[in-house]
Amino acid sequence: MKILQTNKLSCGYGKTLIVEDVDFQIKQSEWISILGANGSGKSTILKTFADILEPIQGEILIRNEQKSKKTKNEIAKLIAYLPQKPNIPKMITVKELVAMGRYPYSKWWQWGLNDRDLKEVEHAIKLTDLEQYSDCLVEELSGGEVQRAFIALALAQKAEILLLDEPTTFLDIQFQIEILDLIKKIKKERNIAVISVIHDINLASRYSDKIGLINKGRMLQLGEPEKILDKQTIKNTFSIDVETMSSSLGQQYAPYKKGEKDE
Amino acid sequence: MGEGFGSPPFYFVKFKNKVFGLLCILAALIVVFFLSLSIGAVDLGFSRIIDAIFLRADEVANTIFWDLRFPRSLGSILVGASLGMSGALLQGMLRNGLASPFLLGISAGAGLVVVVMITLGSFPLLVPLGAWLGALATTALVFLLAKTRKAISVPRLILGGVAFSSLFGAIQSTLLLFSDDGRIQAALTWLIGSLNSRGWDDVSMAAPWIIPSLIAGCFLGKQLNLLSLGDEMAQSLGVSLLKSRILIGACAALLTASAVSIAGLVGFVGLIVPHGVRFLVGDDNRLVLPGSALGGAMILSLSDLVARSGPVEIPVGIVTALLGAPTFIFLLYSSSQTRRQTG
Repeated sequence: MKILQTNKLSCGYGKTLIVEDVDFQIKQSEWISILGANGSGKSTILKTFADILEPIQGEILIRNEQKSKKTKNEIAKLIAYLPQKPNIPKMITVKELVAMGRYPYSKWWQWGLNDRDLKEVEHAIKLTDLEQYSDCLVEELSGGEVQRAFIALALAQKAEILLLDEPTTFLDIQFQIEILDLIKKIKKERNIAVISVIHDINLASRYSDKIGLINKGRMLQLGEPEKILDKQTIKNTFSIDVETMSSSLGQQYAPYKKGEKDE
Repeated sequence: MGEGFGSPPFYFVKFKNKVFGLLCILAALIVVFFLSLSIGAVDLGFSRIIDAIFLRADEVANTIFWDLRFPRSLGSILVGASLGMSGALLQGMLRNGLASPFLLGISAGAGLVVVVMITLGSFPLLVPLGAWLGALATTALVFLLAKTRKAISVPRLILGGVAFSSLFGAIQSTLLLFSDDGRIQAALTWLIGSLNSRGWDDVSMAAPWIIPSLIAGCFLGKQLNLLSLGDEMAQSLGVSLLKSRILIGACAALLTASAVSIAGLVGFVGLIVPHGVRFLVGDDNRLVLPGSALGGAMILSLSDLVARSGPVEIPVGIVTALLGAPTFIFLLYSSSQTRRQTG
């Protein structure tokens, strides 16, 4: 079942077009990573899905219903978004942060959380292995733990689509794997669709069900990693050469600059 | 709030303790309110106050209570609560601990209208209304200039406020330079902020605006909490940047304008009180907002009590600045100490 799809979507900042004519679709419990060079429009697409930017042309359908006809709160219940570097509020405990994911479900006059909200918050904290930190201040956690806390917030939102803008960029390799494993676990357990922007081709191809290649605002290809990632498509996307090799973890890609190999 | 202060030296992480912090502020407010009713040129004891409430005391006590002390104490509570909550709203919305209720040109707009009215000697009875309208008009102008297609730009809000403040400040100074001494003094007292001889007229004009705004403000905590996660994250959690900023700004502007119409430009309360409250209840704006209203009311009542306790009454704005500036430095110092200790 297609959970989100676009028809000839063009988007950007104000009237400046960054992404043009994108046809994209994702099914339930599918993970698609968008790969592309800096400035190619990856984050712009995510922000448009997350209702931060408005489409300039074309439309976005969520479960075959037009997104533009939904209110911000309705969209927040369907789509959760984690920006590259979210602001970390001071003096807020992990539990309080995760509880903010329940705000779209509460009415404006409701001051606190009800039992169902509390259950969702506790479940999200459990799923992200943060139980021992739930009363700690978010600002005192390590980078990986902060990222997990924000993922827990997105889980508490109970959305069906999770958008992640470079979730591993500021983390060391151990935490990168830990976070990606966590997302994989969540995807399976909650049956949600994940759309992520990841810079590392190897990690993206290992964890994602599909890869979307984007170059200068146009979606070049969308498909399974082993089918679409080859020397030529990567060169078309990043303007760089790669050496491919097989390993027990699947196909690996080593980028190099022309001339470098001969030295 | 993030900028300006680090983690305070102590904090209450458990929810029950945070509410306890709120109750402490309320208890302090009740004590100060009682003291401000009791202490003055003629001291009223507890039983005389109770008698005066039911008009059973002697005529002097009844008059002092109902015509002088009670309206003035009520006025200081309303002004303090407004400034405290308005400061918390703006610091939260702008994500800047240095924001004060006067940041968005409110003081400049009110100040200009009042200085014009005082120096020209026209409509002295309408000064509070003039201040109120001047404050709201300037804030509306600053918001209009900051409005983009889908949002309100925070840097443009701040810069617009600064620009109007310096422009109107220059006009004020020019007008004052050409005025005679008596009028300069009247204008200065207003600009510093004073509660001297404020009575039912002032309170009854401002209260219908202040009380609903205070109640509305208490419901904006969740929006402020989401805004503290950054604009993008807030939007993805269902917040409309345009609507929420207009709502928060309007609430803060109404509170400040109404406070200013009673007492003039009382400084430092709106800047310091939210920080002090965060030390007690944490950064959850659902608690910071009511806490700042209670804390502001308590601090301004206390300052007014100090202002009128000496041989000569001084404007309350001087007391808040004298108390506020060292407190501000202390908060800065103690938070930087904690930073050093915790690493």
